[in-house]
Amino acid sequence: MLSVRNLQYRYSQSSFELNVPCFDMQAGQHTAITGPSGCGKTTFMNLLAGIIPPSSPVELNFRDEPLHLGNAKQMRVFRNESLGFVFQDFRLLNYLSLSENILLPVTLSSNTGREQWRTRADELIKRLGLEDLRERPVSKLSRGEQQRVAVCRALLQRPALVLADEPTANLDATNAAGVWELLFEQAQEIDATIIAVTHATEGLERFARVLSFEQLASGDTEDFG
Amino acid sequence: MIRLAIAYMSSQWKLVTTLIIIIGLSLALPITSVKVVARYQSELKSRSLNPPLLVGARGDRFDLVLRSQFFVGELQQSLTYREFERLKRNDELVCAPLHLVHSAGQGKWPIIGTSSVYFNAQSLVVDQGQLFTEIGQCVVGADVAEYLQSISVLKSDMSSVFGFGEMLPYELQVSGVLERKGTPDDRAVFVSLETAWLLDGYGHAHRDGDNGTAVNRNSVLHGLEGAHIPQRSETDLSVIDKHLIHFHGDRSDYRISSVAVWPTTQEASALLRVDYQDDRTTQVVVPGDEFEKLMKQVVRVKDILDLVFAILLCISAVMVLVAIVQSFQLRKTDLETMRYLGCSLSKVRLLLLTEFSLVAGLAVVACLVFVMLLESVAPTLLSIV
Repeated sequence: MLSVRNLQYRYSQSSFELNVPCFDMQAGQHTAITGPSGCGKTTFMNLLAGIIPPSSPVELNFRDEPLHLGNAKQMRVFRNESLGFVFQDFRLLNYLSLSENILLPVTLSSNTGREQWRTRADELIKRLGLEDLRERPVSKLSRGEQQRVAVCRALLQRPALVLADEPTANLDATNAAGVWELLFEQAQEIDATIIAVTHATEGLERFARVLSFEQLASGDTEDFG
Repeated sequence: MIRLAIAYMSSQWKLVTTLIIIIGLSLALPITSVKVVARYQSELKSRSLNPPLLVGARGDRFDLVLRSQFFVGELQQSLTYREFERLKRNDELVCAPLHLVHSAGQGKWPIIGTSSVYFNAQSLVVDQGQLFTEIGQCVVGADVAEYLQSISVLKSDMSSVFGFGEMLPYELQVSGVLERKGTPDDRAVFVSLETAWLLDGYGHAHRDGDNGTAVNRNSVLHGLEGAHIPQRSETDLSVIDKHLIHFHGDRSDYRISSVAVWPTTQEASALLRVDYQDDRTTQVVVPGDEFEKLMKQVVRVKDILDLVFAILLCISAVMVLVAIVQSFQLRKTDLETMRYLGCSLSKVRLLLLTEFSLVAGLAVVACLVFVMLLESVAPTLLSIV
């Protein structure tokens, strides 16, 4: 489903260099990448999403189609339609309501059939059990609720790939479990594959493959878990 | 995009409202200043050309114009009616006497003693009722009529005439209302010259058996042969037999304030000015020239105001710029998130442009509202002269 070769990134203000020689992933093979803070996990996710450009040319294939990380338009469409991104700091727009935040990727794209997405958003809100709060600004929700809204936003357009960057880092154990549950349940429902980076060990049992960042950097992407 | 823009602006309504007010006011102040000065110019210019000439006692020319044409300010000097009679003999001059001493409504409405010539020359039309036909009647301007509504009697103010003793107020019967002209005539009360002289105290009526007493030194009648005043002054003219009203002395000696003159030819105008060039007691004034002098002062004040507004505009521009930069910094994460979610840079720019356009549009609306408000509260120039 996803194959990456020679992914390199050189930090401008540090001698540290991220280097992933080889990373392959099958559809449905949910993968967790673990490692301590500052090892480059978030950079890896941002590179995969095309948010930051790699330092040298990279070979990236998604569903057997080449993706050019330097092609801003292609990566934008990829991010909007095929990728769901769950951020560590939620990245919700505080001045929008719960439902407006979930619908944001559609609002920002040129997609037609908004009604269909509205129905989909309603389903997700119902799944969250937050129907009564749909028009409430997200700033007035709890942190656990906010991250669940962020998960719903990532899954709205039924992406094939979900990147989750430390999705539970800012949550307590109960909320973290709730977020993992929602993420896996919805991913299964829409047949999406998850790549998550985390420094925590909770929730790892849900993943089909768990890699340490050292393994990723060495090109040995066999499951150690 | 508009919904997103509105949602953001609603969340920042305090900042947005402040920006709209600042931009709106910064634009409204210079616009209002230009409009108000233009209005002053147009108001004054049209009026200052009609009548084209004024004859009055020597003294301040500007006071003569203000009092005779705009019915404001004080005019201490006076002419005698004889001067008017002299001018009237010239066939090439259309003349109307102006008696500008009395007022009604506690000084709010000037009482103008004049003749029917004034109404014709100023194209004043009696909209309701008729022109005064009897002593004690008056015709009121549209503003006065609006204030009076159905009241048909107007009391003149107690006044000191030409520096003499105080005169009692008279009750004037409203015989007609003038059509609105948007000129000082709208807020004036017009009476015949005889009525004005009655208010002066040159004339009066006696009740049966009241033969009157000798005049005192303060009366305008002082010095007039056979002059006397009734023991009980009757101020309600409706209860007096109008035939009993009589005047003392020679009318030619009675005072008027000025004479409005409409020369029928250029030559007549030039000759009149030459006639009075060396006259020590009387002068001819061209109101248009006095208006030009006044406007030079107004334009000078406007130049100073323009400078103040330009400085204000610069300060506002800096404040708006700071607010926008601050807003960008606060929204950096939000705008980044939009890009991370697949929004193109052009769409982000479109969103920001939409927000600016909405603020600019609302600022223009605010500006128009401010201009209307400021214009409505801006005093007429004549009220601040």
